[in-house]
Amino acid sequence: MITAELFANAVVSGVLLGGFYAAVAVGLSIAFGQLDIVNIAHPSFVVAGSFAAFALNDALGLDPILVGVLVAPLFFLAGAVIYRVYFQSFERTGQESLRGLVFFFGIMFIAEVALILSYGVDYRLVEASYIGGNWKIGAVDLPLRMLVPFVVALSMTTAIWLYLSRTFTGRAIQAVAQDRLALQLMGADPIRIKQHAFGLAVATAAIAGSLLIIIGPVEPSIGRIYIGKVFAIVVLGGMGSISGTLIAAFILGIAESMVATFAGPSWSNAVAFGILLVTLAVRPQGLMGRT
Amino acid sequence: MSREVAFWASLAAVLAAGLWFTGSYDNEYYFNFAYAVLQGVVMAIAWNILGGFAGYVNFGSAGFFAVGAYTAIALSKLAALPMVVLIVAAGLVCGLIGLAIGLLTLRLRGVYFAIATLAVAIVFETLIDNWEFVGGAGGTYIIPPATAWFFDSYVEYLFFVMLALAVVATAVSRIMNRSRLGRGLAAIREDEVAAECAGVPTLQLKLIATTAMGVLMGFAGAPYGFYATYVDPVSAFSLLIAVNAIAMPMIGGTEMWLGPIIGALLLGSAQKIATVTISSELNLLIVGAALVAFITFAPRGIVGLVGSLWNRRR
Amino acid sequence: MADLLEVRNLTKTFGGFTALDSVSFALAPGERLGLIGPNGSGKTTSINCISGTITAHQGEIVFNGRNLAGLSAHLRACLGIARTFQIPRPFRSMTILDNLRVPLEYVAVHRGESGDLTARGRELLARVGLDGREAEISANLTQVDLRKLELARALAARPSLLIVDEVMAGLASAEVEEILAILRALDAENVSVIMIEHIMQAVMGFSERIVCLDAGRKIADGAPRDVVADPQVERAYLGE
Repeated sequence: MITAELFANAVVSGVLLGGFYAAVAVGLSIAFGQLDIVNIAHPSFVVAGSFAAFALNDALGLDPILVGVLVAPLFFLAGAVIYRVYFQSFERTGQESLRGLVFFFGIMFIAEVALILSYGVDYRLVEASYIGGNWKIGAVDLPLRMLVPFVVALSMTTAIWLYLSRTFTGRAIQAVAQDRLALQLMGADPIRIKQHAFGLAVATAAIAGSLLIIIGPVEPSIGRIYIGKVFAIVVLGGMGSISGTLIAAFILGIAESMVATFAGPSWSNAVAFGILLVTLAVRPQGLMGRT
Repeated sequence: MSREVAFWASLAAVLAAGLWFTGSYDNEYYFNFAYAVLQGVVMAIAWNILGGFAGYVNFGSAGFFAVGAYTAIALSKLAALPMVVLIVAAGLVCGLIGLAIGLLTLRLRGVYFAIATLAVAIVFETLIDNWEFVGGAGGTYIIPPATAWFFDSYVEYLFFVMLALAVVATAVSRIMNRSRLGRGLAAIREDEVAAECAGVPTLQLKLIATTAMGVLMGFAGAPYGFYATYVDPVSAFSLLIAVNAIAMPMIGGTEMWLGPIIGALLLGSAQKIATVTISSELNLLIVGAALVAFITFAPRGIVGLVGSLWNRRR
Repeated sequence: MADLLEVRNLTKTFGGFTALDSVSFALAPGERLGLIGPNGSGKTTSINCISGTITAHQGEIVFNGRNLAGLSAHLRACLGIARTFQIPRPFRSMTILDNLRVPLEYVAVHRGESGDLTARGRELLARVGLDGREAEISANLTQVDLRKLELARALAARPSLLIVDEVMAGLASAEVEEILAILRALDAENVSVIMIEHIMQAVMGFSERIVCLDAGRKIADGAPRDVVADPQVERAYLGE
């Protein structure tokens, strides 16, 4: 039965989820949108971030978000290294399309299996004081395990957006997507800029991963479900647009929440792919993209 | 003997050898092993028609395979149909899916096609998860007959079926590779814009390649239920199938029709032998690592390596 | 005699940037047109629109009396439009001859032309000075040979309109002469040529008429002598 209360809760739940999704997708938005790197392994990096949060939370009792922030520089470095390899092997020779895709597919694979070998296939979760807590506004529930990640996710996404539009390096990242030569003439090294950008993209995965494991338990292959969600958001939002990513993330979150509430949770994973296929058919450049 | 004649004669010889083996040996383990390796060969050849010849990556090979398998399973639950009918039906369904994905995304950049293949695989997995008629998420059992045709056991029959499919796939692949169609696909792979300006109807050719790939993958999946006797979405849509479909041609060599066969024979046999001694996860890791290594350092695969060694010696 | 090609009010924007602003010009059969203008003026964009590689937002392109709107690039190639690319784009893994086989097999066959394609391919290679090298892999060619291959591949389609985009850039003067000789020989087949080029002597010597673009607009259209003396053209190249 569809009550107003059920409906309101579904929408709010969707909004909270959408905010989190934005944090997961922003890294891919940078890689794919600005750098034209189809990092299909991004969700695997997020899951790796989740496991990092689990490991330190389990061993040292550290708050998972804190772990995410601490581990982010390591992820940044890993991203820089991976970009170097990618650049040397593929971008330089102009072979990026096919082989780059397969390269990241291989990385995704290796990451997932490495996690399985280290941690097994069981679900893992973290402990923190706010998990389990719940605020209520009228008839609407705001579970803290969703609200806290929502706040952090929005903060991070806003920070990235500010970074890209206000700082020199950030604007260089946007420029390198459009005119490499002009960037070189300005004295910036395009390869270092791209390396920086990709490192940043992977660093966001560390934080997004810590949020993921707060929201719910995580097991190594959960990344595969997120591939669809993340690409759906980036494609629907429009290439390279952070604001588009945010809007698309909310749309996906609300759509999934509605479907899960009214049709059953086993269908919610298909929502992302459905949105993706429809977007590709109707408006492939996305909401904020240009023709 | 001209190369053409040699090729067709070899295919006939392979079929004859297969028949001979089924007559001379009884150990089911070997036929099981060979079936699995040959299944890999068909999948690798199919993937390569679009991935290697035209340069468009399909990440959802397991989706096509599983849909082929489940098409056969669903039809066989309705009536006891001969294997040939099941195979053709599976091929048709998967071919149509390939065509549909192609129509949807091939006008866009290659990466959108790749993502769409992944999406379609997951969509079909979700659909089959919820389809009680074929067992849903819990899976279903298939009881194969004890024997078929003149073979001593059903496994020997399945082996021969898959051998025949591998021969068909090889023939299709070689014909495509060395024809006007193959040159058009290669032009698309090398530089799609230049190919269009040179008169190549790129969308048409890509659709043909995608459909052919779908059909062959459907063929590969059709007998699976009878081989495994228990099928559930997790095993049918397995990531290992998807990775192998890419790794085998990439390691073997993508530009020629022979590469996927070499890659599949080597990698498939190695994996079948290894899974006795190592865990399946470690197996996956090694395949993934091998894929990344080859694609980074030896992008033209084994065939390419051999080719350049050969050229250097001249 | 009707024009072979008519470009009318061609307009193309990329996001906020206007690459072409209502550009119009025409080309007679067999005519040699030079297309000049500073970098970024819209020359390559206009030929991308003509060849069908990109779609213009407004305007029409009429070829042989037929509006090309909605026609894909490969069909335009079959109608008789061929082009080279500023940076040569060979089919790298294929041999030189196979590079030519592609347009021969697709355009020629589409038109119902028959005959020995291999022989035609060899004849084309001889025409551009690449004879005897048909089995070489195209990825290993030098710049000037790549340009020749580009030309041969464009000519393989037996075009009535050939567009060459900076095909002589960066070449030594002897090599420039070689390419010019190949292009001049096309007169005999009544092939129209649009030449985009920065090497002024080459353009001046080759063209019967010159069109000059600047910032997406056509600023001059006439005899080479007149265009070059036009103060607007001078300003476009040298600035205020």
